[in-house]
Amino acid sequence: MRKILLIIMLSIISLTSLLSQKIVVAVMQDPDFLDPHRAAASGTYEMMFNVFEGLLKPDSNGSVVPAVAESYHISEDGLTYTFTLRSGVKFHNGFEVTVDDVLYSLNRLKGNNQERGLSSDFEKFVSKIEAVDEKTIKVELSTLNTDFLEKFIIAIIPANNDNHEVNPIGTGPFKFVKYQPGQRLVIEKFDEYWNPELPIVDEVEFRIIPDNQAAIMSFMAGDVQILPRLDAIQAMVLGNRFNLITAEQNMVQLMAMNHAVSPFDDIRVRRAINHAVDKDEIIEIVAGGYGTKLGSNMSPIMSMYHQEGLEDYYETSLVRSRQLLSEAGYPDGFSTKITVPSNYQFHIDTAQIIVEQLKRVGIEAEIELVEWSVWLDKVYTSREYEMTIIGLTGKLSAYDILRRYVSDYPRNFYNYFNIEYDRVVKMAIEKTDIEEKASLFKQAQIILTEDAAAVYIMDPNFFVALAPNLFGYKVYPLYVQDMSTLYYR
Amino acid sequence: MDKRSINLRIGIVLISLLFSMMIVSLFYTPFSVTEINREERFSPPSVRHLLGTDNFGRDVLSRIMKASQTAFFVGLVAVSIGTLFGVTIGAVSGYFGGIVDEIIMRFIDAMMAFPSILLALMFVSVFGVGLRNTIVAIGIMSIPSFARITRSGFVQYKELDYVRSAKVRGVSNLRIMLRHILPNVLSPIVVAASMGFSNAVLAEAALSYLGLGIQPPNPSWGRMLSESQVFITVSPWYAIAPGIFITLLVLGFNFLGDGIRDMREKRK
Amino acid sequence: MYVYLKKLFAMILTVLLVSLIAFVAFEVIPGNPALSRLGVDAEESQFEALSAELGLNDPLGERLSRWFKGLLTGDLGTSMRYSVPVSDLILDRIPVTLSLALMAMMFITLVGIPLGIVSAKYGHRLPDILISMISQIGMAIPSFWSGIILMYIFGIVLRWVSPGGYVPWSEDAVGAFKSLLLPAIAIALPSIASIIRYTRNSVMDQMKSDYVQLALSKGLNINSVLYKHVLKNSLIPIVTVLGMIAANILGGSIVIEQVFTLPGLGRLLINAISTRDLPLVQGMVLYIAFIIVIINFLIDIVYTVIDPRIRLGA
Repeated sequence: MRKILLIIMLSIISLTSLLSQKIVVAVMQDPDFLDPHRAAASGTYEMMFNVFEGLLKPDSNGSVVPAVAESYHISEDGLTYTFTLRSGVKFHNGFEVTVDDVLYSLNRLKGNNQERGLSSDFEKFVSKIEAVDEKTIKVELSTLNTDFLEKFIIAIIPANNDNHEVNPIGTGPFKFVKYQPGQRLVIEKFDEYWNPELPIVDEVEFRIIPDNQAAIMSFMAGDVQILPRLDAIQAMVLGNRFNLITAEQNMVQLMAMNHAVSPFDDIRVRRAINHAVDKDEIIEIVAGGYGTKLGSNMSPIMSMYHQEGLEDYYETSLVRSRQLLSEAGYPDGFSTKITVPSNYQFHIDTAQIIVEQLKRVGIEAEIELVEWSVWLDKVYTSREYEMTIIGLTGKLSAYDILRRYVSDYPRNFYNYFNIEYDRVVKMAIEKTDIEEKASLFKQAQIILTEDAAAVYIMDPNFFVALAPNLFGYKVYPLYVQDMSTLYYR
Repeated sequence: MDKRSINLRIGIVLISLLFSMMIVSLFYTPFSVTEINREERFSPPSVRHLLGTDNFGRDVLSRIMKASQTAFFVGLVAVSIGTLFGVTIGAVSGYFGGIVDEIIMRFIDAMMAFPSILLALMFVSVFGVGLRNTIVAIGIMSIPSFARITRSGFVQYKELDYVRSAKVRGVSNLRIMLRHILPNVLSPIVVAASMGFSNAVLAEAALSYLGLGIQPPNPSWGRMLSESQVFITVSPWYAIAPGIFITLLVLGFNFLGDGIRDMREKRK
Repeated sequence: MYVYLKKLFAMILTVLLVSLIAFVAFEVIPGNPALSRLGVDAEESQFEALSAELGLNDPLGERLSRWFKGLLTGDLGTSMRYSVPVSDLILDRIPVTLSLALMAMMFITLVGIPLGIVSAKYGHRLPDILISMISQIGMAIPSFWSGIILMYIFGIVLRWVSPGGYVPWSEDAVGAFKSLLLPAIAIALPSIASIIRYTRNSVMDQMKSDYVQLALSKGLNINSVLYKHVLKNSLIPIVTVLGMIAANILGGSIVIEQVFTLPGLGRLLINAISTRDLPLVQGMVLYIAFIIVIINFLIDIVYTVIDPRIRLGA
C-alpha cells in the first residue's frame, strides 16, 4: 500500500516537474553578495550569471559577445571603447535600460571623489565615462590595457533600485526570487528577456549542498537534476546511468613554493622539485586520468594564449632531481611542510601523493591541513608557508590569470619578483594587435616555467552529471552555470 | 560461569584482541600505510588484501591497524587528562565542601548540560585541528563526569567515623584524601574511565569525521569513514570496516566497565 | 526555588564566559571574515570595502564595547557572512533542529522505554539477554556511521526516502517527515540503547522492593503491578536520564546534520566558526545555552508532576 502511494506521489512530482519546468542544481557554497558589483567569489557568479548581464557577456567559447550592448567599437589606440545599446532590453522590474542606467552602473564601479569605486580595475584604468547620446556610451582608459574588454561583462543594474543586495535586479534570462542562506537560491524565468527564445525552463533552484557525497546521493535519488562540479572519482561512482559531460575546467592546480623562504629561493631546488613530482601519476590517481598536464600558469583551453610544450620542460627524473639538490647543497634532501586547505579533498589527495614522490629524492614533507579561513590568512595574506597546493579558477582574460605573479600585485603570495616578467606582462596589455599580445603572454609563461616559479600540475577535468531527461547544457571555460538553454525532453 | 562475569570476559577478550592488533601494528603491517599503488586501487577483499584497498591502492587492513594506535592513544591520554583533573577537582570539591564546592559544581553542571561534542568542536575549531588539540579537547570534555563521581564518593566518605578520627588525630587533609578516601572511590572511577575511553574513541571518530580531528596522512578510523563515504557505492568494504572496528573497541570498553561494575555489585 | 535560581545564575555565568572566550579567541586566531567571504578572486577594493563595513579595522576597545552592548540589549547583531540579522538565521534553522530533536525523542521514549520494561520483566532470560546485546551494540555504533549506512540502504538502494536535503514542513508535511526520519533514527539509536538499560535497571530495582514482592506474593498479576505502580516510581531516574539524553541529542544532531546535509543549527555553527563569523557564533552560543536552560527547567517541572513530594531542593 505504501509503495503504491509512493509511486503515485513520485509520478505526480515528476509530472508537475514537467508541467512547471524546474531544475535543481547542487552548488557547494553560498553567494558572498547578491549585489553583482560587490560579489567577488566565483561561486556567486556561477549562479548570478543567469540574473545579470553586462554590456557584453561571455559565450561558451571563452570570448565575449554583445549583450546589453548591441555592438561595440574599440579605437585604434585601444584607449576608447564605444558601446551602442541594444534597444528593448528590459530590467526585471519592467523598466527599459537607458544610458543613465549604464552610466550609473559603470560609475559605481569606477567611483568618484566622494566614494571609492567598487572595482580596483575600473578605478585604475578608466578615466572617463560619458553618454554620447541616448544609445551610445563612451569609456576612455587612462592607461592602455588591451585586456580590458572582458571587464565589460560586469552587470548593468538599474539606477532606480535602492538596494541591490536585498533586491537584485538585472537584465538576464532569469530573475531573482529568493535566497535562504545556507539553503537555496531560487530564480525564475524572465518573460521579457531580450532574446525571446530563451530561457526555456520556468524555474531554477540552486540548492546549497557543501558536501559532495550528499549532493551525489540527492542526485541519484532524483531530487537534484544537475551536479556541476564533480571530479573524476565521484563521476566514476555515479556510473553510466546518467549523462555525464566532461571538459577541462580552465583551472590551474599548482603547488606554490614560497620564494622568500629557504631553500625555495634557490632555483635549483625549485627545479629539483619539479623533476621529482610525477604529474602523470597525480593525474591518474587523483583525477582518474581526467586531467591535462600543465607546464605553466595557463590552461591549454585558453588556446589563443597558451604556450605549448612547457609541460615537458621538467621531465620526471629522480636522478636529475637529486643532482640539482646536491648542487644546491642538499645531497640528503631536507624537511619541509606543505600547507593544504582542509576543505579541498582533491588537493589533500594530491598532497599525499606528492609527499610520497618527494620522499624518493630525500625530501621529507609533512602535510599541514588548515581550515580555508586560516589558509586565506596565513598563506594568501601573510605568506607564512613553505609549500602549498591550490587551484586557481579560470578567467576570460589572460592578463587576469598571469598578473598574480607581477611584483606589485597585492596578493602575490608566491613572493615571485621578476622585473623581466613584470615588463613582459605590462607590454602585453599595451599591444592592440592580438598576435603580438598572445606572443608576449606566451613569453610570460615561458619565464614562469624556466624560473620554476611553482610546480604546475594539471587542469583537472570537471564532470557535470545531468538527469537523463535534461538536455541543452553548454560548457563554459569559466565558473558559470548557464541555465537558459536547458530543457527537458 | 556466572552471568555477571560474562560482561567482564567479553570486554577483556575484545580489548585484548584489538590491543594486540595495535601492538603488532607498531612493528609490522602487511603493507605500507602510505605508499601509493596505482594498479591496485579499489580492489575488493582478497587473500592478498584482506580488507581490500582504498582509492590510493593502500591496504585497508594495514591502515586500520595503524589507526588503532591513534584510537588507543587518544583514548588513553584523553581519559588520563579527564581522570587527573576530574578526580582532583571532584576530590577538592567533595572534601572541602562549602562555597568552593558550590561554585565548582555549578560550573561542572553547566558544562555537563552542554552537548560535549559541541564543546570539543568549538575548542578544535578555535585552537586548531590535529592530534594534540583533539586529545586536549576530548580530555576536557571528560572532566565533568569524573569530577561528579569523585565528588559524590568523597562527600560520602568524609563523614565516616574512621575519616573523622583521622582528622582529629591531626592527619593532614592531603593524606586523608589520598590514603583513606580515594582507594574507596577508586572503583567507580575505574568504571568511569572505561566508559570514558569508549566515549573518547567515539568523540575522536566524530571529530575526525567532521574533518576537525586527526589529519591525513595519519590514519584515523573516523577520518577513514568520512573519506570512504564518497566511494560507498563503489567499494563498500572501505566504508564498513573502520566502523566495525570502532564499534568493537567501544563495545570492549563498555563491557569492561559493566563487568567491573557488576563485580562491585557482587561484592556488596 | 533558590536552587533553581542558583543553577540559572551559573548557566548565565558560563554563557558569558564562553561568549568572552569566543570573542578573545577570534581576535587571536588566524582568519579574516571578509576574506573568507570573498575568496581569492576578490579585488583589493572589494576586500577593503567589506572589511570597513564589517568593522574589522576598528580598534579593539570599540569592538569590545560593541560586543558588550549587544549582549546587554539582546541584539544578536548581523552575520558577517550573510549580512542578515543573526536571529533571522537562527530562527530559520530552528524548525529543523527542533523537529529532529522531537522526532528522536519520540523514538527514544516510544521504543526504548517499552523495550526496557520488557527486558526487566524477563530479567536474565532470553528476551532480556537479546535486548541487552542489541542495545550494547547500539550504544557502540558511531551515530554518523549508522547514518551513512541507513542513508545508503534506505535512500539509495531502496529509494524509500530521499537522501539528504530537507523539505520544510510548511511546504510538504509528508516530505518533511520523510527527510527527517532517517536522521532522527540515527540520532536516536545510541540513546535508545542507553534508555533501555536505564529503564531496565530502574524497573528491576523497583521490582526487588518490598511492596512489589508483597503484591506478587498476594497473587496479583505481574503486568498490573508493573504498569500501575512500578512504572510510576521508576520514572524518576528515567526522567533524569532523559535530561542527559536531550544534551546528547543536541550534540548528535550536529554530526548527523552533516551526514544528511540538513540545514540545522549544528551545521550553521560549524559554518560560522570556519568563516570566522563572530556575531553568528556568539548568537548561537547564547541560543544553545538558552535551549539547555529551558530543557533543564522542563525536566524539573516533569519531576514535580510525577512526584509532588519531590521538592526542587532535595
